[in-house]
Amino acid sequence: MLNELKLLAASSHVYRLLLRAYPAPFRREFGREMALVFGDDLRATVRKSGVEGLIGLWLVTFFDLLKTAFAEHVWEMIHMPLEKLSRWRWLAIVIGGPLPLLTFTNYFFWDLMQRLGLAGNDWLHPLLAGVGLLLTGIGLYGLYRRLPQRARPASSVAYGAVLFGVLLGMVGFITFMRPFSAPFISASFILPSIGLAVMGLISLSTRALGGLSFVPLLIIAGAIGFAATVGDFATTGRIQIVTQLFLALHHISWLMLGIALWKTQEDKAGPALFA
Amino acid sequence: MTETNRHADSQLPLSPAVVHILLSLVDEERHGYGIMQEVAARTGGQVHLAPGTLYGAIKRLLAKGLIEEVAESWGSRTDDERRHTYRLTKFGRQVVQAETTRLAGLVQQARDKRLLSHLWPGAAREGTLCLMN
Repeated sequence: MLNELKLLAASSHVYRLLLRAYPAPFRREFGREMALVFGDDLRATVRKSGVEGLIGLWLVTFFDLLKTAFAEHVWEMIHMPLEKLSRWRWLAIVIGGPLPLLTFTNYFFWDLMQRLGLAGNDWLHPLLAGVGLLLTGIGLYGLYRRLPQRARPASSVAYGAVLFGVLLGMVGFITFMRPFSAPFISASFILPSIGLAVMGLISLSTRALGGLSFVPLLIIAGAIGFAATVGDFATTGRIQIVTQLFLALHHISWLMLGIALWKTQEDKAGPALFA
Repeated sequence: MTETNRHADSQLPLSPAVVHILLSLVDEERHGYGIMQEVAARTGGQVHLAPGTLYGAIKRLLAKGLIEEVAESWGSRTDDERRHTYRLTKFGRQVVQAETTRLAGLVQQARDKRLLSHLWPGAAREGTLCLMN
């Protein structure tokens, strides 16, 4: 009996610890009651099936916790107010982190990567560039929806140019990586650069981003970065590490901003994309 | 179709967990564990709502206005006794009614295709009698 009580107490304690997997707001609102419900369920299970029944209960509860904790984090992320953006740096690191890591590994450990058959090969570079461009496109959607209705025609054209350039770049990298088609690749950089600059100017002039006034600066920096990449590539025939660094960080920030900005348009432009 | 019905229909389809939670609140208000017990009893133990699924659904149902917390004075109750109790809103009742009507329609379609003859052995004959009458 004493062991049974200890087991119940330990189970409740472990469950309380596991509740930390949920986002803090959810935990604050429902954590205490979830722990109480789990405790009730524990006692009912032991009464009905004995201590052995706990294994089944734990399996169900643990997988439920994994699934629902992930779902709650996604929900929190989508419904996150702009002000909390800075708290979500880790998200950019988790999602976008592998991208610069692969880029830098490829650059600094060229010999090693070559021995492993990963340097300058036909899939790693296209993969990096493709993922980077995709992240840019996704991230920019958030900004596009944030721009006011009255500027919609111009912002639509600008975002269209960005998307077209992104698409062109992805197709180019995936299918024509070897050899490079200079006009093709240049178009895939120049178009997004112009689009980015226009979107940046619109957001600056309309003050569409409120507290996130640094976003237009990022956008214009992005445009310059892309333009620099084109110039760099045209003169040297290869992309330098500074440009790679810029592009990798740039993609991460767009992804992070885009996800956060989705929520802010929910009231004005219908439901969020993933709501 | 009325404006209210259209609004209720916009919430459909509901997930099975949400349908069970709403159904458990049709008769009376309940707290989380009460909902869990009612669902388990009603389904013969086939459906077990774990706390994460239960409270995740409760959170969304509250946000959509399908259920609401019952305001109550906890007075001298201990921490263990202090539990939020939930009840169905008018809109929640409309939504669960719309969803169960939708599901009933599906069941009827299955009956028409004689997929459920093992559940209602007389169904086919009744249908024949109806036609004859």
